[in-house]
Amino acid sequence: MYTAEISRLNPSAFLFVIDQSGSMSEMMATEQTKAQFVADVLNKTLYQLIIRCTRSDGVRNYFDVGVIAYGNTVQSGLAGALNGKILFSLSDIEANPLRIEERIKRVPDGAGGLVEQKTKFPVWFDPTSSGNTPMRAAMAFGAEVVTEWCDAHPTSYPLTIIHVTDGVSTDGDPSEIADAMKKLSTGDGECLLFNLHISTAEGQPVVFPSSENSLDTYGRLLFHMSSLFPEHLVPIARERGYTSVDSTSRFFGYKAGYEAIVDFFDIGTRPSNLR
Amino acid sequence: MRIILHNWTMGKQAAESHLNEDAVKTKTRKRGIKYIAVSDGASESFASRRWARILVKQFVQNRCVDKVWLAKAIAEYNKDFDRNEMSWSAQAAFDRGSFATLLGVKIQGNKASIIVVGDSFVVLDNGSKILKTLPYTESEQFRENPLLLSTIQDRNTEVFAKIHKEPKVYLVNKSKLYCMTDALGAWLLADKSARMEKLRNLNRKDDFVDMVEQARAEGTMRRDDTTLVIIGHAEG
Repeated sequence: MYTAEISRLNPSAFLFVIDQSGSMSEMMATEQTKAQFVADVLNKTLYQLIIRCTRSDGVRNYFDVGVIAYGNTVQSGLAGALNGKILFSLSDIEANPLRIEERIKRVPDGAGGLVEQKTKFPVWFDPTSSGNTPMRAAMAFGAEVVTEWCDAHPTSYPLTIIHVTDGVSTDGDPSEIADAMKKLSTGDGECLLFNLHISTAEGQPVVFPSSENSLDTYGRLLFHMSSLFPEHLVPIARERGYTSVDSTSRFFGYKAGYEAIVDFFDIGTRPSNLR
Repeated sequence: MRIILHNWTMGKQAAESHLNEDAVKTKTRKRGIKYIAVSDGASESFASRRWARILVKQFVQNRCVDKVWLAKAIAEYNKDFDRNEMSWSAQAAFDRGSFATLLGVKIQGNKASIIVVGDSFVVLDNGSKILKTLPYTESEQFRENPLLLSTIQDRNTEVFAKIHKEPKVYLVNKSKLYCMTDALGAWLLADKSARMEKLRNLNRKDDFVDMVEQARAEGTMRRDDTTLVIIGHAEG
């Protein structure tokens, strides 16, 4: 399981499900709102995914990518030319950011000094925060997308869903739908559901736990909704300092601060066998 | 007298040989000294096929791999790219750089000297026994992240200290050097004696292709660009 080679003929996919409810306007330690911070990390994740798949002859479509945003409504989180469906090929994503910002970076000049270099930074996803937390509806919408993708890609490395939320579902228990979504599969394994709960509250974050013991009731619900750590991602997590991670750990973060959010996206978007 | 007995390469997919990021170059220079270079371009980089080809070409011209040598290779790589004309993604991937290994061999008479950067792999074999392997001895070592030669000069600061060197290896009697890229090396070290025997018995490219296809199908060899160069002395 999880050994299929990811190629242009046999792509994998990432579906990001992002909470945009009103509480996402709370400030984080980075002096950004949760919504701003998550939007930043998501834009950087898309940027890195695209760069990893860019060769001198263009962007290779190793992945399909989509975003579902939920708050006032449940809808695609991508806008502009990226409308009409949820999942797009990587080259479509590359070609259609909302805008491209120009930033100045200081880079080594090769002779021991630094020079300023103009760098283009695309933005696909803007922060929004309003309304309730219709997590169950978002999961149901996601399950439809995942079902369709799995049917069309029976031999691919399965789709990975990365769900980010800061609150409790306001439209009912999403766990039944999440469990059904995790059972959707390709010939290479069941789809992976990674849940990240973010928080500005005091208290120790719990990242990639093997046990639910230290979690409260809501934490336990998200723990059970989350997939076990795929074996090939274990060494990547350990390299990032999560040394206790093993194949009994859940791909789940609870009350995560900004460092854990960045790591969660980075580790979660590294399936093996990219060729 | 032949020195390069066989030189075979096989892409990840048979139908996509133009995407093969392994490179091999050989050259005979004055006094019959032979230079052989193998490079394996890292898949997740911008133009690793081009970078690997530049490295092997430059090694057979000048085997002194140092900062000046590398700066010349990087200049050659950059020559055909205009960063300002690139799309945002090409620009970012170009800035991230290309990466590749280098395995270089110099043969003078029956003496060989070898350098290795990264996880390309060489075996000295006497026809019935493996005498030496470089840079690894265990298959698991291929899972480490090796330092590779980069097109970004500042990413090469540690690489020179980590060049594996074997200045004197003697190709006497039936001894041969088997130079290969990592997928084949990891496969070989996982079951040394049985698999070395398979390599010893290869005579034609078709045999090599069949062996690699079979190992990939069995799941014992990673599907990656795979190259084998066999060096030894033979009449003809």
